[in-house]
Amino acid sequence: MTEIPDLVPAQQEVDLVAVQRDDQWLGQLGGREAVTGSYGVLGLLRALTVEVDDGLPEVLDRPLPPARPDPAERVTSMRRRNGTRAAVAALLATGLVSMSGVAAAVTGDPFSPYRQVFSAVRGHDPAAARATSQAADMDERVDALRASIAAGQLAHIQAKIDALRARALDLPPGKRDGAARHLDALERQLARAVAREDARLEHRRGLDVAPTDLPKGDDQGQGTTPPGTNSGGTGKHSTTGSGSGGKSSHAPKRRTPTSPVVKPDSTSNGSSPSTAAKDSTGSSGSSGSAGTKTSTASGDPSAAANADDGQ
Amino acid sequence: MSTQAEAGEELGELAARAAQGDARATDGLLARVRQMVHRYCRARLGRLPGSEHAADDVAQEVCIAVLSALPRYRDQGRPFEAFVFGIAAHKIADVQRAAMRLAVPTDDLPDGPDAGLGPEDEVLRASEARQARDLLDRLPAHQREILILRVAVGLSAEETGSALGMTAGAVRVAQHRALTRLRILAGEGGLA
Repeated sequence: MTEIPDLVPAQQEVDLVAVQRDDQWLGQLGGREAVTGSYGVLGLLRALTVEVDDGLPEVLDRPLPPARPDPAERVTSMRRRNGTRAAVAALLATGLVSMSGVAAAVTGDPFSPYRQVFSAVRGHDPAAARATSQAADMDERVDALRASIAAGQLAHIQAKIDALRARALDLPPGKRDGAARHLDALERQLARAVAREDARLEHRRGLDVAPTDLPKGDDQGQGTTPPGTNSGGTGKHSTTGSGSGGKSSHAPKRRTPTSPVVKPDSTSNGSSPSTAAKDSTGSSGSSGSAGTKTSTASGDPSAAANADDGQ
Repeated sequence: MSTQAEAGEELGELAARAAQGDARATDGLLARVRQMVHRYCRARLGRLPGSEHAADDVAQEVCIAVLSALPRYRDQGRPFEAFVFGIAAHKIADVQRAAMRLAVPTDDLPDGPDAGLGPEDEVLRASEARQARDLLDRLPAHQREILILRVAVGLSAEETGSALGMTAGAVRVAQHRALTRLRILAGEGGLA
């Protein structure tokens, strides 16, 4: 397409009559009316309009292809979309289950991959990490104290429990309550252990007049109480029952009993219980064989139980 | 003229209602737009060699494109005709670019009775129409658009002005200059 330069200068005066006449002609051509003086350029333009309109009514009568999908097509496409969504969801679910299965087989925790992703997304929280570390430390210490009590090592336990209570105040509220419950249980366990130890010492005190000190002949012939019925610190009866001047010969070589442990509500600093416990152990060690023999001879089940429990 | 202006406004109102999903307005709009678009495409494209119905195909594509773009149409002070002819001009440009790359196959002669013009008249008319199109193609683009909209599409000076963003007076002066140039190109000299 070759364009020629403007043949009609813009500054040229406009013949208003010619403008009006051309406008009228173009209006007639556009309205498909007969054009007066339809020759020359106007004739060419008229031929153009004839060609443009040739067969146009038939073309316009044809239905236009739908620009929007009709309802049936819309339903089909909706079903197709829903099917695709279901397939994608099933694929995702299968993938997640497979990943969990592999993780469970490897680590034992099916959620470990997701935890890693979750922690990576959440990022590292120093406060949360510190709280978790403190709680874990608290649990370890509580477990250690529980093991000590079970082993009969009761010295300083109460002081350690008090120290843990002070540390528990630094924990977050949720973990603080749990630690307090653990420490309460620990104190109850300690109280029971102390009570058992007291009972054991009391029993041992009663056995201080050991039948093994008696002459064998007296014991065999004059005992009024059968061995099997002599229980719970009734050795004194058997001793007195022997009758034959045994009192003087059995003037008890009593060791001054010291409390082996400190009661849970004791406010002592724990040094004396420790010492007492050692003393107790030492004294029983020195006369342990006699005591054990006595217990066995008298058939006292509580003594045996205490022996087992204490050690 | 006022009637034509109201008709133009009505087209804009129809378009606004159709854009909001009014099915009846869409049908009315399409009925009016379709004829304009077909005439415009036929005038611009004529009968491309090897593709006699290309203009109608393009016109259909334009109508579909207009319908598809209708939900996004917002009246921003520009007449709806400008929106339509803008789409049509782009489609036609695409077709012309593609046609320039196409080979030109030889058509078979039509077989059967033809109730139209006789062969001589047909040839004469086709020749004149082709000559008119050739002349139009040698005009500046805005003058060509004005003449096509006024003659082939059948728009008034006001409608043409609103479609092209001009006043009706500017359209009348421009179309006079375009006709004067056509006459010069056709060698008519002082022919009116």
